[in-house]
Amino acid sequence: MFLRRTLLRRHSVLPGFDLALGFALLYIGLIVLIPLSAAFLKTFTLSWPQFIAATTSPRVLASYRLTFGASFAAALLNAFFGLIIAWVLVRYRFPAKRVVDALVDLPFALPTAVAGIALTAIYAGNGWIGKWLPFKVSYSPLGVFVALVFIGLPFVVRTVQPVLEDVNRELEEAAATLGANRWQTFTKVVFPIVMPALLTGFALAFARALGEYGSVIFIAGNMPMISEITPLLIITKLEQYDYAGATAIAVVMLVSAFVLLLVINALQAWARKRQGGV
Amino acid sequence: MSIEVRALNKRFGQTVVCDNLSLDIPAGELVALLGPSGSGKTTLLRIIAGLEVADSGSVHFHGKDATHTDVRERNVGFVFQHYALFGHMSIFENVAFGLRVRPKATRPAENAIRKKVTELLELVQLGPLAGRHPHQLSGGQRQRVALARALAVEPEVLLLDEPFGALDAKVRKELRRWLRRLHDEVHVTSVFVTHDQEEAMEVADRVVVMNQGRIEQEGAPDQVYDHPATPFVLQFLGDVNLFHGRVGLAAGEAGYVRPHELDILPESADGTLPATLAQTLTIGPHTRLEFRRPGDEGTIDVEMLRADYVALRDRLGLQVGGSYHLKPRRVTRFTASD
Amino acid sequence: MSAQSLPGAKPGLAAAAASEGVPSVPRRKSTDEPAWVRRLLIGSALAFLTLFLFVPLGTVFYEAFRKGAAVYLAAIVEPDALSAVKLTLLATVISVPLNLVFGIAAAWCIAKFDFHGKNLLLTLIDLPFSVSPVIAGLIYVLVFGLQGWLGPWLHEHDLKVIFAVPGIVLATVFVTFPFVARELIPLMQAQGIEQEEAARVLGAGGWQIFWRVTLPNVKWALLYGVILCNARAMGEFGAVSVVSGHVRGQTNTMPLHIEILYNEYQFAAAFAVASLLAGLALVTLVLKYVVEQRVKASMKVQHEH
Repeated sequence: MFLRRTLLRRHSVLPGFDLALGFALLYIGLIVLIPLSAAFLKTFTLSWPQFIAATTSPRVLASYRLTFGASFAAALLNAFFGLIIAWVLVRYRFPAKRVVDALVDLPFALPTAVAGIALTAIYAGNGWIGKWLPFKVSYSPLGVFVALVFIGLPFVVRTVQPVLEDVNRELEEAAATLGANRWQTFTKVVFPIVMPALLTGFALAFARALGEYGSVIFIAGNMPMISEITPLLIITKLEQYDYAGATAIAVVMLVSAFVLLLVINALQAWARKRQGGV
Repeated sequence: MSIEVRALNKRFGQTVVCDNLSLDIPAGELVALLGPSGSGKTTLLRIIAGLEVADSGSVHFHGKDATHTDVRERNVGFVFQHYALFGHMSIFENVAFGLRVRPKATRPAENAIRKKVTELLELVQLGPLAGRHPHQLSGGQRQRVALARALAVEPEVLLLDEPFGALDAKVRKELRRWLRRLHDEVHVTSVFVTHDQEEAMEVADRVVVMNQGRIEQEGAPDQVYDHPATPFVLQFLGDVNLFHGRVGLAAGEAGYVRPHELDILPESADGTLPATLAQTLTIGPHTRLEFRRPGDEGTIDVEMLRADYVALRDRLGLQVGGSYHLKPRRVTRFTASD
Repeated sequence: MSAQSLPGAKPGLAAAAASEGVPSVPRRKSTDEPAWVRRLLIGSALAFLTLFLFVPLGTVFYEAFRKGAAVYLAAIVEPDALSAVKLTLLATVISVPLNLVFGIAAAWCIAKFDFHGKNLLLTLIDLPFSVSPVIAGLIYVLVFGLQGWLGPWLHEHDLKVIFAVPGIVLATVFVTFPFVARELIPLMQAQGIEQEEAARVLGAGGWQIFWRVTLPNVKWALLYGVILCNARAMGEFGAVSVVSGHVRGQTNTMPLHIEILYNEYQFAAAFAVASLLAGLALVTLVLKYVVEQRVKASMKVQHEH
């Protein structure tokens, strides 16, 4: 069969390669590649100056600032608390720990719209938490930040947890026999081992936050130049039938997502190389 | 610094791992804790280190009660079976670790640290590899780094947990000899755990034989080998043949004879046992002859140097299947309740 | 689902205890933090999780039932809500099996064969995770929309994809197709090809090998992938929002219906519908836990052989 002959690196006696790969490639081609290429091809209908204008107008730039800024800040907060949560889940025992561990995945399982309206209700001026705060959270950029923290939460925890579980306890014992206290042992021995996973988790949370729509638009306020995220801007342009403009911005987001993907892969490769530890 | 252990008890769940252990280790000695899996030797070592806490009993360092002292304050060096080197640090940084984490008050200056680490790496013959990382080293090299790292803080006691267990046979033999020589140079009180009796006998000043959480016997290697206090010690150290009845034993006695302490005679005599030669096996410089007793009461092993075997074979015309008589030169007797 | 670490020698106390033939004990005094540090860390972790996780979850149910059970039920059985439920289920029932087949096909070639472009395929499978859902919807508009590539042709034949059910299904398929594959691939890779090769040598055909050897080994991971795929399909908002047209009673899925209710200030109704999806999320998490335990157990059994 064609695919088997041309692509296979090592001889295999197992059947079904052509069928499986053929189907998978067809599927991806139809569902992913062709539609995605439509975005890039559409952008090529714009001249370069038009492209620049569409993707760097003040309103668009403001949306980038908000989207990238809030995503970065949210991922940072998630990195800090995600590490603590992972540590606590791996190292300590406390009541209902298994329930808490399972619930960490809630942002994965909960639809974004549900999260959106719940967070908005809580942080609104008369909401449970909103009424105690002297500043506005719902309908402001801060609301965007809160929503992005929610959806990025599991990424850091789930990336760091397995690495933390695998840390060789004897390393910590060795450090103790050599006179290190717990803080020194953590900073000099354990943290360097966990750091690549932490960075990867951060990058994943960041990437996820960049594209997030459903949980943000309820709480954001969506005012142009102030609390409008980039995905919303794309939809607005679509509704105005400015397909080319919408697609141009989409291409900018796709390219940044792609760059982020490369960074994540590079991080993971670096982590694997570094980890030849004993 | 000497170590005294008094009435140590430790159990994990329902299992008693250390059973009323008491032990004295004089300063400067190299002592082996020898025993099979489950004998409690590793747990004892870790309690001495402070990595484990006993349920009851006490540990003293040079007369001072250290039972509740934190591991960090005990000033012990610990070498793990799987090295436990810090993979993300260079060899140099690994060895320097113990010095770098000292509080500001007692921390040596940077060039003092550098000097000490370099000296230690020379001592373990790994000077040129200082910049490498652990995963670039062989097992034997890693263990030497682990040793250097433990010695860097100038411990008063050095504890080694099956230090050569993860290494190839040849490397193990080399490092055994090397550890002995290191100890002769450095003279730190050292305790190491092993299940390999050859290793214990070769390296240690004194051997402590443990079984099921108890100390069966302790003494110099020769002493323990030639004058075993219990059947367990006899069987654990070296090969042995077990006899019931015959060989001049009273009822209820068991007799133990080492394979190299049996003579082969062509005819029966006073105190001999009839047996048929079943197999001869030559391994390197030694030959082992397996004899079967009439009525198939089990195998008796006789060992001798190959050269002696060849001479004996020619003299007696030894043949597989032939009948001969075995005479023990020495029988160690224990009553069956020992 | 966190990566499964293979059960192997864990040195230190566990090994010491294990080699002494004894159950390992979690108490490790020499490598524990002081109690106040422990309490502080646990406290901060729980406070953070309460703030960002538990309170939102609780709010959904609280707000849904605040006006009483009657209002809750009325919101659920209201015609537009019901048709939203139906549409959600329809989109899910089509996209999940399709993605299941894809996941199996992709996992089969990636895990059991070595070929050029394998890494590229893996990256392509992960693509939807990096693409914003809005962009996922946009690209289908570009292909099937009135101004899109196939737009005129579809219009001629009086077929609608965008602003109709087919578009919703497509968008749902796009955002959920990695889930089954991502659950199967690491597991099947870890299991290797020995059992399949053995079956082949014994004369089994392709489908036989798959049904009798491969499938039983991955059934729990497969189930979990389907559960995740299902949860995501039912909850997808951004992509569906772009292609849907938001026609009440016709092209609204449950998440879109929630949005409409919310924008009309019908908060109790919005949360009522939302509570259905939240309940589904909780069921998903419970199933995930159960499946994870089963997968761990089966990995352990495999390695003890």
